[in-house]
Amino acid sequence: MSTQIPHAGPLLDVSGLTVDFRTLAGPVRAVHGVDLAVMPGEVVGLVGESGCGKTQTCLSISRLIHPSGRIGGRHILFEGTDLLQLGEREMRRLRGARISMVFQEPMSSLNPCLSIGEQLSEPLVLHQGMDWRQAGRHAAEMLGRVGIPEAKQRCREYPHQLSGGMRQRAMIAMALICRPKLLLADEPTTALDVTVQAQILALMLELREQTGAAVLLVTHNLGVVAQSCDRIYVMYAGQVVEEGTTAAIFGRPEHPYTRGLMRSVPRLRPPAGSPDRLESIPGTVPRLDTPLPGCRFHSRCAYAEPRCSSEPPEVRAVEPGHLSRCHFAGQLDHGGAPR
Amino acid sequence: MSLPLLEMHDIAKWFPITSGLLQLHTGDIRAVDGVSLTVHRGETLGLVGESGCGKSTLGRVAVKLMEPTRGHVRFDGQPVDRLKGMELMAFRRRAQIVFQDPYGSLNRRMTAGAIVGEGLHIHRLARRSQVRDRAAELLQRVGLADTDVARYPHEFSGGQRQRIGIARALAVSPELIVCDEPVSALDVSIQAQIIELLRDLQRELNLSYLFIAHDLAVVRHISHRVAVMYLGRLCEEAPRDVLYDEPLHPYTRVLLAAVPEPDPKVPLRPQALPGEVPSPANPPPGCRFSPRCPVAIDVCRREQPQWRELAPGHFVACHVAG
Repeated sequence: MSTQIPHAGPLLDVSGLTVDFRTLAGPVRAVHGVDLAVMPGEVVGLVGESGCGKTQTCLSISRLIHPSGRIGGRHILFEGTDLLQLGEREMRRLRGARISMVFQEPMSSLNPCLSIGEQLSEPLVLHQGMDWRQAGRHAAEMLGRVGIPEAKQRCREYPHQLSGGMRQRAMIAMALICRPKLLLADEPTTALDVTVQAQILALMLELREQTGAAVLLVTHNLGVVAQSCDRIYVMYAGQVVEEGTTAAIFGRPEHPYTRGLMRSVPRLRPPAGSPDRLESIPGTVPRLDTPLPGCRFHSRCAYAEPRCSSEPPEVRAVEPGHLSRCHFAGQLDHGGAPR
Repeated sequence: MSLPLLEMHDIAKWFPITSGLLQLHTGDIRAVDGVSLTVHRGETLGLVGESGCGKSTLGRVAVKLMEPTRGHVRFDGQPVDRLKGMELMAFRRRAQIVFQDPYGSLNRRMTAGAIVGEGLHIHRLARRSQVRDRAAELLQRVGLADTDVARYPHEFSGGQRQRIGIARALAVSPELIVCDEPVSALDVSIQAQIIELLRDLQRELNLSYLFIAHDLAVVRHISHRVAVMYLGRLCEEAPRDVLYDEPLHPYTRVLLAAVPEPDPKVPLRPQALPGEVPSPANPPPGCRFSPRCPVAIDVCRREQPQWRELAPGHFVACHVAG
């Protein structure tokens, strides 16, 4: 959080992103007009509950969504190039080199038939034209840098011989080996134990300092974003409902959904005076295969007024850089107590 | 204090490792290796630990879904291992379990009403004609609609399925419910609903919970006492606030320091924890945490630490603590 963000344009600029899927039950719009920017070297959190579209947003940036899906929107500018206009061959040149990915389940995203060393070397051979021997030496060095002991020996081993934490370290090493500008990390610590999670988060932030890579961190864990992100986007039912700096989102959440989310998380060290009962958000997330007039959160919202069920709210700035998709953004605390 | 409802004494559960054509017995996975604990009436004992520490195995032994390799379970003063026939039936009614996976633990070919009503049939707690009404009542009690009796599991969300699992456990009016990671598959806003439902039911019905989870914040919220498990053994047990505010075992401290708080003003200061959890097939001698422990001394690597009561109700298995 102390890093200097250089005063230049964003590294990644996503505008009006939509992702549509054809399903047996009919078309479903999983992502509904997402605007998102990542500055060089910045760690940006994309948070929300299951089905909110955070993973599809992340996958569309690397154009890795399921073949039944369609990505649309104004643009996905990465270093000034519109990824929506690129062909598959050009995308392949970017993936693993300029943009790389870390996924939730390291076992299913590593190839069980290739040794760790081969998998780490491959991007260097493909993108930088190294020979396999030279790439192998780099791979061992990178494995050492992510904290895997006896890296040379480990390079000869296969994914099943490593523990979950070690596999995720190997994934991160593979993702960073070509020194990408952007790391897309989709729930990188969700499958890990809490002590391992703390180590992996620390490792990602340390490598960010060393390599200058920006990180888009997708997670449902509010603790993880609070501890690692510079800025946060909160998603609900396919839309970004709030965006702001980590301090602003946690200090003065402006969207009723963000507020509800924060109050429903039990705390390890509850602040003095916090209520004994956890607040929960009533009801469930709306289905995306039916039309959703008005605000997508209105049926669960404690502040909803009649207009919320018919008029979709626009994004409003509460203060510079802090935006909320709510008719009453900036006025929640002045309109009386929530009902 | 009165007689505990559940008493587990020196429980071990070893799973044999066999290999080769002849399936020779070559060793044992010591999933649980000498654990004693008690749960009193109306109380929640939280059991925390990381994956593979044996906490779920211990939960299954508690409700006799598995027989222990060693040790005894007593329920309401009665030894559970010798129960047969009607007595075993009675125990099955009084001790229930709620599982983690709300998808895998419900039969997809049965309606919610049939799932909840099955226990009523088996234990003859309702006439055939009343089962459906009673199931509808139970579904309403856990926050579903009475009309949901006719719906199938796939028609419900994850949180709603977990409610069905809770209604199924409640149907037979149990005294003890083992909750094995009941909220870890759920989203946070739904998780809060289920936690508060379990707390309300406890107050109303004087239920006892053995609440097994890896999420330390959730366990703090719901438990009266908390026990911490590592590699098949207990490290520490204490009243809830004592354990979280004054942890004594080095592993408990490492665990608590690793939890990221949802507040950027509380910075994460994880303690370095070298190495990995050893295999439960070949646990280290002495204290099981000693190879990774920041404060281990010679004796820790030789001798198993005693389970010592350092303050009233605060037990620690550590040579160094206190």
